[in-house]
Amino acid sequence: MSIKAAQPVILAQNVSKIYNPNTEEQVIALENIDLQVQAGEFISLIGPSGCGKSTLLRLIANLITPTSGALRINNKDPHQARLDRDYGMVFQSATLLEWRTVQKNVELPLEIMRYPASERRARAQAALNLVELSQFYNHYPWQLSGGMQQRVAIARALVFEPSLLLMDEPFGALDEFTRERMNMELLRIWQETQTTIIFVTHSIPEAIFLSSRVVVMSPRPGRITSIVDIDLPYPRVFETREEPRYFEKLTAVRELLRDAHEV
Amino acid sequence: MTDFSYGRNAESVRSHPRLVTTRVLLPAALIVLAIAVNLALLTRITALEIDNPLLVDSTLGELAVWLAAQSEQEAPQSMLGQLARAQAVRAGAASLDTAALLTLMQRIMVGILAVSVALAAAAVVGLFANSARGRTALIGSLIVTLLPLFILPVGTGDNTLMLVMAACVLLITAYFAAPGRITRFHSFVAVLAIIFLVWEGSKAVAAALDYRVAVPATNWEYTGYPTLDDALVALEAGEIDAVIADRSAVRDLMAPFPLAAESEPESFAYPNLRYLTNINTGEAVLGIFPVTPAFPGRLAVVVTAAGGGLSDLNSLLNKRIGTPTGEFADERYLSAPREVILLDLRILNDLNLPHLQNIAEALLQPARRNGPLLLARILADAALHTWGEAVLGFGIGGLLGFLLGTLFAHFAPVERGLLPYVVASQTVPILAIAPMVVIWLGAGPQAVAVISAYLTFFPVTINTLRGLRSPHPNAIELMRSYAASRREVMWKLRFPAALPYIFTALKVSATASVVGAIIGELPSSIRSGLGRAILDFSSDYSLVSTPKLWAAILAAASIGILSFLIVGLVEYLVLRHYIRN
Repeated sequence: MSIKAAQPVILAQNVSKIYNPNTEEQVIALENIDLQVQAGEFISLIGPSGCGKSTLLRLIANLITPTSGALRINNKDPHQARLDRDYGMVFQSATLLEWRTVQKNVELPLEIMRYPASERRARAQAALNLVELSQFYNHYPWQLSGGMQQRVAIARALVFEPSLLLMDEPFGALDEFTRERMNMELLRIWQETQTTIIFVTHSIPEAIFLSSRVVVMSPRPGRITSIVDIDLPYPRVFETREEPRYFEKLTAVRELLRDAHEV
Repeated sequence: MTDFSYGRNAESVRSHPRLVTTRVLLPAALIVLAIAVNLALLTRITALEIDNPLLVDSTLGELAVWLAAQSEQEAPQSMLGQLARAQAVRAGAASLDTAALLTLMQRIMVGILAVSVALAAAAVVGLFANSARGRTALIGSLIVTLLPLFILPVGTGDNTLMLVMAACVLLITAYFAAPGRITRFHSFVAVLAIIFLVWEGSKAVAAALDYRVAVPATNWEYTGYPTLDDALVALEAGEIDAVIADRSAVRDLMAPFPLAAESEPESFAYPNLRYLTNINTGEAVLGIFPVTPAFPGRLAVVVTAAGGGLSDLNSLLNKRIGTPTGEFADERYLSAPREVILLDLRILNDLNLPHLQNIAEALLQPARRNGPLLLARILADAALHTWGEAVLGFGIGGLLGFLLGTLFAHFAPVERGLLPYVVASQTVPILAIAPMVVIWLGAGPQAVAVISAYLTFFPVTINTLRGLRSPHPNAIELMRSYAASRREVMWKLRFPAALPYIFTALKVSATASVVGAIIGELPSSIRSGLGRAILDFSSDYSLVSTPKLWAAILAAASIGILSFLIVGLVEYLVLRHYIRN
């Protein structure tokens, strides 16, 4: 445990990402990002559109590569981390394969990782249990509601027990009530699995309610303006949203974002 | 915490018990009427004598005659013929009795009508019981009621066919008036029935509107004479006012009118007679219809030198006219009313659009008189041959299309370079390519298959390409996040995502492959396929061969539709779990 704590899950030093470098269409998506994430943290990336929060997530996922700077995932090159399947990913749309049942969708990463069939089934059932959808294993995605589809996507991301869960506005398309329930659900899963979560969101209340730390970003060029510790105690419950400290944090992050936007 | 908002809500179908009775009354009444019509038909056919043309000339009746002829043969070639022969041998007779066969056919016709009545009655019961089966019975009754359209002979002069059509109209109206959901199959049958009715109905309308006026109508009285000379003598004697005769015959006998300057009427055999060189056949009005009399050019009107004013054809009306009997004027012009067609609905006449019964009859008759095989069997063999080529072409084209599409999807530079040529290939008419393919590959099924594949591969290429590129970018990122290999991305994501697109293309290709095979058969001079049959029947365009041509078209359409349905079935089995829109 002590070794893990000493070694950050994510270590970004001076990371920049420039699209179309040295051309007229050059866009500086991220500039000089420094970020350290320890194991078991719940980090939210928040900021206005174009601040590069999704870019940062994709850099961590090695779906794109940084133009400059050093980025280490579990003390490995991000490419190696991807090959080692160190992280699971959840998008705004559930991105389930419509021709596969819920069970088969959750088994998809295990198939690619060449797990034997019996273990695939057992692990998928466990992951579906975790998101409380085990009785829907034989349904097809189109038979599920949006919230249920997103829970299947979370189960799929967690089924191979990655140490890191990357979520790109996972509840952005859901209605407010479903979203609040999904937040509670996610906190429960996070505590059960001890996974480190990087969570991109547009919603300040969601970021405050979920996170141990909120990374506030600003656009043009995308960078981190501040990192706010949310020292509300876990487990957070429905009433957490009514506490004065919650509102203080809400106000603080909102003001930071306003300042970021005015730059 | 469990989300029970289930994606597919069961549709709650509410019925209004009070409304059901009133909404059912109209369709029920219509069905009862149809039953009455069918019962009338049933009694009429039951009462038919064995030699009634309604029975003998019907599709089944003519089949009976052919079967009787086949049963005389030592070894009939066709299965039906062998069956007839076996029956005759079992009965210990030299041949089957035509009358007995006709009675059997009569019973079959009565049976068909009885089934129709029974199903219609079941439909009425189903309607009042508010059961979906009632509608199915109604459609079943409609299908059976349509059969007599293909069996009962046309042109018997009675209203039998009209009664059949009336029953069909009543049943279709009842179906659409009846409450309940209109399913795909039901509406398909209903539309098919409407097509048949419009087919026969438009022919009836065309026959009614295809207005012919006979010229001369009344007021054209003439006397026949044994010879031309007798007629001319009668004219000279003043017994008649004019003679209509062959122009070449009268030209040597008399001078023309008007007289040419240097002519000498006295040098002819009949110096007092003149033949009119210029007869005015301009438009006249008969009743309310304008009529253009077409006076045959080889006829001449002969008048006396004194009565030369009869230059207008209409002025011959009410005049005393004579003509040599047996002459063209008598046989083809004066005695036979000449028909002037006022409204030409040529597309709908029997030559171009045969009656449905004629087509059915052509199918159930040998291609040549007393031939050993029915046209249906000949066409079935030809269709099977063509279908084999089409399936081969479909396989080659489908595979080629899929491989090209996959290649294009994975290698963008190849797509950019090669796709324009693939598109261009489809702008070249297949008819221009086909003879070359035949020369390269030799005339045979392989050339036909390649020509068919030429029409087939393109849609598959385009849709495979589209389909393989259809997954959402997030899905591709997801696969990358699993460090999936290119092959895994292909087989676990891209290919399954492309399947709906590929099947859409395959359905198009399935029908196109049949067209390609038929086109390919022509330059390959393959005699055993449908291409040859279509060519044969269309080259001799006559009342005898057009029904056969339609039958061949029907056979070609059948294998195309069958291919489509088979691909559709496979599609359903493969894609039944995909999102339903």
